[in-house]
Amino acid sequence: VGGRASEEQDAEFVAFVDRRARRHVRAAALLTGDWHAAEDLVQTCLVKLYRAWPRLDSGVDLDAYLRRMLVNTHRSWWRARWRREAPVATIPDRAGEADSQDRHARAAAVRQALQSLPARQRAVLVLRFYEDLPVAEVADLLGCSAGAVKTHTHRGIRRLRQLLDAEAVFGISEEERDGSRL
Amino acid sequence: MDHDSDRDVAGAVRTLLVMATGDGPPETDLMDEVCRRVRRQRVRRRVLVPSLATLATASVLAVAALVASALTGTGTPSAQARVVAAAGRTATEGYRVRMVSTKSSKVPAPSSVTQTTEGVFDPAQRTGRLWNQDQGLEARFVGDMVYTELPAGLRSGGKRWLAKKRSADADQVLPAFVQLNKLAWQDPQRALAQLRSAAAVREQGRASGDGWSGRRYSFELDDEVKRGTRVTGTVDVDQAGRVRRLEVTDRLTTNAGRTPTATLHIIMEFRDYGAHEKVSAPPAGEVTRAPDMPSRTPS
Repeated sequence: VGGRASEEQDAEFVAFVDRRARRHVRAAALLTGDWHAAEDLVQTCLVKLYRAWPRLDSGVDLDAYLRRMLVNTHRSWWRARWRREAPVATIPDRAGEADSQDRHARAAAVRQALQSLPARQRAVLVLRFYEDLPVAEVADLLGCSAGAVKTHTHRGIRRLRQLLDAEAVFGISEEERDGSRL
Repeated sequence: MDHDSDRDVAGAVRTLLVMATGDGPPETDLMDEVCRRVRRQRVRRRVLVPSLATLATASVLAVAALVASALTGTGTPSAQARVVAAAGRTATEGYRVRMVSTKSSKVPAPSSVTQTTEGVFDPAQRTGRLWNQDQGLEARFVGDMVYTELPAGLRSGGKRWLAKKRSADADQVLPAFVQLNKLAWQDPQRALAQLRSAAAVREQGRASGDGWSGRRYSFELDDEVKRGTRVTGTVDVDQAGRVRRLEVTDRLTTNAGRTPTATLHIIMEFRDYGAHEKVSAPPAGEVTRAPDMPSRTPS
């Protein structure tokens, strides 16, 4: 490694990290449940991306490439269990609205609720609603059918509703819950 | 369940997920850890094969030398790229800067002058203010204009400020060391931009200051007009990837570089990132305009 070309590639890589990595850390926090694990996951994938960087041509969608790495790496971590996050069955008490820690408490509560979902459901919700990916792309990323993505979406949302205060969060009445489809 | 309800639920989940990422920790420099891991992988690959093959005879010193060689080699995002990125990142949010400049000369007689300048800049608003504590003078940067306070002896007709247009290109043909020396005084943001032409950038190790820690890099200015000058320096980059300290030494020499005749040493310390201070142009009645100067671009 050396020479002008590698320096330019390095500069491009650093610029990409500078511009986009934080966005992926936020998505990773939803997958992993905490910020340290999220940074760990993103950094692990950035090392892989750096290795692959010289082979990537200019037409590659770098965000999509990194996102695929994140999903696959998180899945392999989860399967290996050696970094597995402990699922939580209950949501901790939320701080009062006037509490200065309220924003943190709300965010942590939602992340913990996500952690209580099966990994596949959680990934589907994050990819569909945080990354705004269409069903077909989520299915491709996760290696399953579009129908399975829709099923995971439906079940994931239903479970989130059970864990969180549905009316407050979703603005949907009890009557509407069971019939909703996405 | 109709499509409107579907959209409502989708929107609610999006809101929920955005809320769940609203308490992120202070931003750290992800690249620091990425660099460390790339290095570690490289070391493992280099060390593993010889250590297995020559396990019986390899000495601890030989392995240590191998590790040291790998750690100082290339193969991580280059130090130059890190410094260039830091210079760019620093120019995106407000900050305060303190500059201490010492000019030493051996001719015609040994002398040394030190000056201290404080400043605050807001790159987003393109405003800034510098004040020289020793001379009690101020300069204001507003958009494309710079207003320099005139010393009392040069003021006339109530005109206290000299206005001049900041030109992005006018100084491009000057040698890098002239640009840096000039810009450090006139416009720290553009002085930082000079780091983009830095060459021979090498990581030197840890650096820290009041409330921050990071890495130090040494560099030389890539100067096409190097005759009789040598510009070297160090730049400290914090964990958020911002420049915290820039130290530059410019040695002017004669006799083909053998005899140093003058040295300019500048230390710029950056702090209070996120700082904002409203800076406005002086009253029009107090401003005199500098005459347009002919272009320096060679014909």
